[in-house]
Parts: sequence; C-alpha cells; structure tokens
Amino acid sequence: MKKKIIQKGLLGALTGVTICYLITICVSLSLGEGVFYAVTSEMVGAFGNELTAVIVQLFLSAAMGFVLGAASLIYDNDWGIVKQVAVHSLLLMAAILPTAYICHWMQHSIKGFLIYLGIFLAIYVVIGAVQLLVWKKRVKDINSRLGSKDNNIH
Amino acid sequence: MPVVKGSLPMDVEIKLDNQYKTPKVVIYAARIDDDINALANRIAAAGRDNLIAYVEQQALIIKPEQVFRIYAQGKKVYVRMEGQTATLRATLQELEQQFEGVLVRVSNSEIVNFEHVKSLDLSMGGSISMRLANGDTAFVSRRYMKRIKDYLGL
Repeated sequence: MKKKIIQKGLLGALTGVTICYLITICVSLSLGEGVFYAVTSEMVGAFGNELTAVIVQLFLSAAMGFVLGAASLIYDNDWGIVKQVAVHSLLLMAAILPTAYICHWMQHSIKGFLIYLGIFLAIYVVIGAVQLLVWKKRVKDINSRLGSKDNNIH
Repeated sequence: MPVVKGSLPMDVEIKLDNQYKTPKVVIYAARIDDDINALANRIAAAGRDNLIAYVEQQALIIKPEQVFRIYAQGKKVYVRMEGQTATLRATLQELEQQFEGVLVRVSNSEIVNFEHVKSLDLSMGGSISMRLANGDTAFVSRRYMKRIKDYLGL
C-alpha cells in the first residue's frame, strides 16, 4: 500500500509539473504579447523576484501533483460513491487551495477564493451525481436480468 | 486388487439397502480430527462436487445448490444455507475456482449463489447490496460488478 502511494504520488508530481508548465505556456499565448510568463506578476511581487517565484511554484505544483496522484487510490477501496467522492475532493482541496493561493492562481480576495472553491465543488458534485446515475443504471440492468430469469424458470 | 497402505485404523463395511438409490456414506467416529476430516474430504471428492460444512463438531455434506452465500470473517469461512450457518475449510479463492459458474465472488470477502439472489440495491450513499432468498444481505463491491455482469451474460 505504501509503495502504491509513493508510486502514484511520484507520477502525480511529474504530471503536476508538466501540466503547470503547459498551462503557463497556454496563458502566455492567450495574452498575445509574445512574452512567456512562468508565474503571475502578483506572485513575483509577493516573492520579490521572478526566480524565487518560479521555484516556489515548481515545488508547490509538484507537491500538489503528488497528493492528487496518491489520492486517486481512494477509488480502489469498497466505500460508497458519496464517501469516496467527498473524501477525494477534501484531499484535493487541501492540496490545491493553498497552492493556488500562494502561487496567485486565484485573486487574493474573498471573491477570488470563493470563485475557485465554487468551481471546484461544482465539479465534484457533478462527478458524484454522474457516478450515482451510472451505477443506478448498472444495478437496474442486473435486476431486470434477475427478474426475467425468475420468470423463465416457472 | 491393488493394496493401498493407509495409516488410519478403521473398519469398512458395505450394507446393501435398496432404499439408497444414491449411495450414502456415513463415517462413525468417536472424535472428529484431521484424519477423519481428510477421509471425509476424499470420499466427498469422489462424489460429484460436494462441500463439507462443519456445525459445532459435526460435519455435513452439502451440495452447491444448498449454498446461499459464503463469507469470510476473522480467519474463518462461513457458509449460509436456508436456515443454517456452518464453517468451511477452504479459502474463498479455492471455492471460487472449484465452483466457477455456480458460485460467484461479489466482494473481497463474499461469494454468492446467484440462483438464490432476488435483487440488487444501490443505497443513497452509492454502495451496492444484494438480497438473497433466505433473507440474507450481501455487500457487493463495485469492483466485482463486471464479474457479475459477465456471469449473467450482460
């Protein structure tokens, strides 16, 4: 189990760093200035210089990726869907929200925080609802097969 | 006739009784120990696919059709029948393999006879359970649902 956590965590950390890099490229492209922004200007301001900010963001995106990778193991156990999705989202929130705050991916205001949190929760509620619907259908299919089997015997 | 040298002292008697269209083997012993169990196992194995279940110190030969569900708890394996619980001296994996096609594994610790399954239920929290004809409930792991669908030909 510990081995799995480390394996998934490391893979997550690498993925986190890569995705962070890709996102910074996409955001820089969308600004259309032909300039590459590795970090937000607010973060440079907060950390004094660009290099420090980039290193901090690198470390935090790797750590965040680690948690996200390891957290996927939640779905390997026998908990109910609601419990799994709730615990998974809490773990992710604990890793993502502080990182997003420190790296200035979100506005440092109540509004900025709530928007980020709101989007996050909305995604999870949707994931949970879809899961419940999918399994409801699978159970229903099996029940109709069980029902018809009984009818055929007599 | 070949002579097979055994180590268990016993008397063997065959009684002709045309009441017994299907031969019945009864072992009379002062005590049930490993030797007696092994002997019963060898005899039962000569018969078609039987199971040996133990209630208190008694051993019963049961047919797979009589099994409603089998579950592992603590270090023991229990079998539930119409109105009775007994223990089995086999692992879930052995039982699953031996009775493939008749008994189906539905979670890490339960095997079920689908002839006696009435329906599946999905709880509000997203966990699946199964109702059996003898009133028992079995927990179904979502990870085993595919196996169940395959068994039912869905």
